Amino acid sequence: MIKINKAGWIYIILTLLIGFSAVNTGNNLIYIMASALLSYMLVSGIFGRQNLHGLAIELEIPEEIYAGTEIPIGIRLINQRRLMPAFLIRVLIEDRQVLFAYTGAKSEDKSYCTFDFKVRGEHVIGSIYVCSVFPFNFFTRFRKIHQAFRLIVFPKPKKCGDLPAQDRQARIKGDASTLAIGFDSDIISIRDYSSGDPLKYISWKSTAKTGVLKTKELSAIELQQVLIDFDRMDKRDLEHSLSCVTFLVLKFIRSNIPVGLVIQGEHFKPAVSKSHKINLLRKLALYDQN
Amino acid sequence: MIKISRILQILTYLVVVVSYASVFHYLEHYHSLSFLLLLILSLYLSFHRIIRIPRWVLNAISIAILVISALAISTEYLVEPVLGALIVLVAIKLLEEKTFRDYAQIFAMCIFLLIGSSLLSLSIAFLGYFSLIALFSTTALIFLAYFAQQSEIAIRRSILYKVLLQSLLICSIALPGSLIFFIILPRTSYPIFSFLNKGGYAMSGFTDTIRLGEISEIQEDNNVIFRAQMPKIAEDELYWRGIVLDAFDGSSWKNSGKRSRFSMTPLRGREIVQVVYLEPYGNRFLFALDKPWSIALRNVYISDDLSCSLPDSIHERIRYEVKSYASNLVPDQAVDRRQYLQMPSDFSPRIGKLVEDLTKGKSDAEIVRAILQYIDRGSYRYSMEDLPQSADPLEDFLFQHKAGNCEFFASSLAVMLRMAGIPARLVGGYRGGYYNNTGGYYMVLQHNAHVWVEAYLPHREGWIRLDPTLYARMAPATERDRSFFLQFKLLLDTFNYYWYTFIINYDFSRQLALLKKIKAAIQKPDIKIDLAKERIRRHLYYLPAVLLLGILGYVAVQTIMKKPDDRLLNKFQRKLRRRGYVRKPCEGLEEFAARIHEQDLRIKAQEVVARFESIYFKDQNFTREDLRSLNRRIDEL
Repeated sequence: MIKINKAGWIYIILTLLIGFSAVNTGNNLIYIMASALLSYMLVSGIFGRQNLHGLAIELEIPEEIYAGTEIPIGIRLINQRRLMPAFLIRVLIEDRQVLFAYTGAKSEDKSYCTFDFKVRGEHVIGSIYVCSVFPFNFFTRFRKIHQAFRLIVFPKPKKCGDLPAQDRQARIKGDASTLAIGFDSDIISIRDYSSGDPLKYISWKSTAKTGVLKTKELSAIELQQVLIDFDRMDKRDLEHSLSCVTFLVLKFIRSNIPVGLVIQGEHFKPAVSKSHKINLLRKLALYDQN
Repeated sequence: MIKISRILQILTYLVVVVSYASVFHYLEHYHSLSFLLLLILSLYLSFHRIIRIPRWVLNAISIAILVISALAISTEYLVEPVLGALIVLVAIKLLEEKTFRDYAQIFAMCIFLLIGSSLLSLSIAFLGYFSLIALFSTTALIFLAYFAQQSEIAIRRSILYKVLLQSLLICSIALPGSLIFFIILPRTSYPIFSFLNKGGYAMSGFTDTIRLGEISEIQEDNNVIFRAQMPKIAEDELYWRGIVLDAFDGSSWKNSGKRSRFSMTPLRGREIVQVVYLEPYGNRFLFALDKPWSIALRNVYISDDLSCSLPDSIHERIRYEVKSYASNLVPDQAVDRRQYLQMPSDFSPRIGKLVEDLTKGKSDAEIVRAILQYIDRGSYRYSMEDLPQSADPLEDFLFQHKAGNCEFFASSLAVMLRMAGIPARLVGGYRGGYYNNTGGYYMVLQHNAHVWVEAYLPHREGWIRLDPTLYARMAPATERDRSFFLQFKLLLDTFNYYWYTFIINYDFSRQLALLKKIKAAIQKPDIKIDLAKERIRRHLYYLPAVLLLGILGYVAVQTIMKKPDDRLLNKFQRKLRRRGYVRKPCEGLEEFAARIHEQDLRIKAQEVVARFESIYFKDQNFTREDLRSLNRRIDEL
C-alpha cells in the first residue's frame, strides 16, 4: 500500500513541469534534470519497498493485564535482512505508533508503547502495520504484518464494600494462631534459656523475676484458606462482581492466603502460587465469553 | 549523538552554495552581493541566535526583490534577472526558522537555479554542478525525512555513516539510471520555447570582413570553434574553408555578395568525410575541410566559391556532415575576371612598380612563383603585435614594417597577383588543429583562424591555394602548440567532445535513429545472434577464469559476511574433525570437548571452549585481541 504525501505531489508536479520544459525548450540539460527526477522517483520506490521487507514484529506482553489500567507493551522490530538496515520504520499497532529511527541489518530494536484495555476478556492485536517514508518523505509505504497477538485482559480489580460476609469471613478466617511453636504470633509459654536461642526472644522480665535466663515461646501463624464461590454470588452487576472477586484474589494471594474459586461449576483448590493466580484471573476474565 | 537538524542545515548550505556557483557568472553584482551578505548573516544567526527576524519582514524584502528583478526583465534579458531574484530568495529563506516545508522549498529553488544555468550555458561544468547538487540533495532529503518524522531527533555517529552510505548507494543507482530516461523521454523537432536557450552564444570573433591593421582578438582566443570527427590527415592538408573575400578597398577585404549557384566541374582528389560540431559564433558561415563538396544540413547554401553558409547566424551548437576532397585545386572554367581583378583606383603606385618589376614578361605560373619568392626572400616576419596601421597598411607592411599577421601576407599576395593580372581572392577559415586520438577528432581553436589566397591559373583551369604565411618566419608563440598544457587541454577536451556529441546534440532525429536500430535488431535477430555467437566463441577462453573469480568472490563475501564467532567455531570444528572428532548436532561445546580421548588435546580444546564461552555467553563482542588469541589456540590443536 502506498500513500503519496504532500511533498510527493509537489515532487511529481515539479517533475512534470521540468519534463514539459525539457520537451519545449529542446534543451538536453533540462532533459537530464527531468530524467534524474524520474530516476530518483523510481529508485526511491525500490528503496522504500525494500526498506519494509524482511521485517518482523514481536510484542512483549506483560503476564497480567487489568482492564482500565495503562500497561507498557514492548514492541520489538526484528530486521532479518542480511545487508540493508531498516530506516525510519514506524510500527502502527491499533491506533498507536512507535518510530524506530534505525535498526541495523540482522539485528533488532525495542520500544515501548502504552496500552489501555477498557474491557476484560480476550483481545487480539491483529492490525499491525509497518510503514516508512524512507528515503525521501515523498511517499509513505505500508505493509501489513500478518501476525496476531492474543492476550487476556483480567477484570479491573475493585475494592468492594458490599461484600461484607466474605470480607469479615476473610478477616476472621485469615491469620489465626496455632498451637505450634513458631516465631510469629502470641507468647504461648516461657521456658529456661537454652544455648542457641536468639537474644531477642529472651524474656527479660521473667529473667529478672526468677534470676534465671528465660526464653519466650511464641506461637506460629497458620494461614486460613479461602474459597470464593463465584457461582453463588450475586451477579446482577456481573462486571462489578468480577472486579470485586479479582480484587480479593489478588489481595489474598498478596497476603499469602491460599485462595480457591468455584466458577462455572469448576472448582479450583486454594493455593497461593503465581500460576494458580493467573488461572483464577483467566477464568474470571473469560467468564461468560465465548 | 548528532542532531539531524544540524546535519540538515550543513547539507542545505552545501546545496545552496553549489547552486550559486552554477549561476554565479550570469548574476548581476548586486544580486551576488545581496546573496553573500544574507548567506553570511544566516550562518551567523544559526550559530548565535541573538535575534529572530520576523517572517513578515523577510516576506516584504522578498516581494521587493521580486519587483526590482521584474523591472529588469526584457525579452532579450529574461533568464538572468529571474536567476538573480531566485538566488536572493534562497538566501532569505535560509534566514527563516526552517520547517520541512521551508527546506523543501529551498531545494526546489536550487533545482530551478540549475535549470536556469542550463538555459545560459551548455558547458560540461553543468555535469559537475548537477552531480554535486544531486549528491548533497539526496543526503539532505534522507535526513529531511528523519526531520519530518521528529524534528529533534539525534542519531549516533555510526548510524550517520550508514545513512550517508545509503544516500551514496541511491545516487550511484539513480544517476546512471537517469541515462535511460534521458534516452527514452519524448523529444520534438520543434520546441516552442527554444528562444530561452542562449547556451554558448557568447563567442564571437570570426567576421566576414578583414580590416588590415586591426588587432583581432580571435588570434589570442583559445576557445574551441569546432570539432571535426574524421581520420587523421597530413598537417599541410588541414585548411578549414570558411568565407571567400573578393572585394578589396585598399585597407579591408569583404565578400562582394556576387554569387552564382554552384555549377563547377566536380572536384577531384581524396574524399574525406567529416562530422563537424560547430560552436555558436554569431556568423552564418560553416567551416569544412578544404574543398567541401556537399554538406548534410538543412538550408545550407554552397556558393560557386565553395563557401558554405546558412541563411541566419549560428546561435546554437550545430552538427553537420561534410564530404570534402583534399585537393589543392578548385576547377573553374568561367571566372568573372572583373570581380577577381578588382582594385581601388589609384591604389599604391609603389606596389604597382614593385609588381611590374617582378613580373615583366613572365607567364602566369612564373608570376606566381616570382611574387612568392619575393615574400620568401624579403625577410618578412610573422607578428601579431605592432601591426602596420597607416593609411596604406599594405605599402607600410611591404616596404617598412615587414612584420604582420596572416592577413597582411595574404592581402599582399592577392593584391600583387591582381596587379599582375591574375585573378585572386582571399579565403578565411582555420588552419591546422589538434588531433585527439582518443576521440578521433580534430579540435580547432579560435586562434587557428587563418587567411590564405586562391589564385586562378588558366593553364590549370582552376583556383590553386597559395599560403604566403608559410614563407614567414614564425614567432616562437607557435611553440605553445606542442606544450604540455595543450596536451592536457586535448585530454580535457575529450570529455567535452563526448559531452557535446552524445548529450548536447542528442535530439529527435537521433532518438528516431536509435529506435530504428533497436527495431531492426528485433526484426533481424538472427544476424545479431550469429555475431554474438562469434563473440562468445572468442571470449570462451576467459570463461573458466571468470567462473573461478566468481566462485572466489562468492566465498570471500560469504567469509566476510559471517560473524567472527561463527568463523572461530567453524575453524575449531574443522580442526577437530581432522583429528577424528565430529561434533554431533545439538551437542554442547563442553560436551564435545570432553569426548576427546587424548588428554593433551582435550585440555587444549577445553581451554578454547572455556575462553570462547566466557565471551560468547556474556554477550560481549569479540575484540581483535580475543580473536587473535583464540585463533592461535585453535591453531595449536
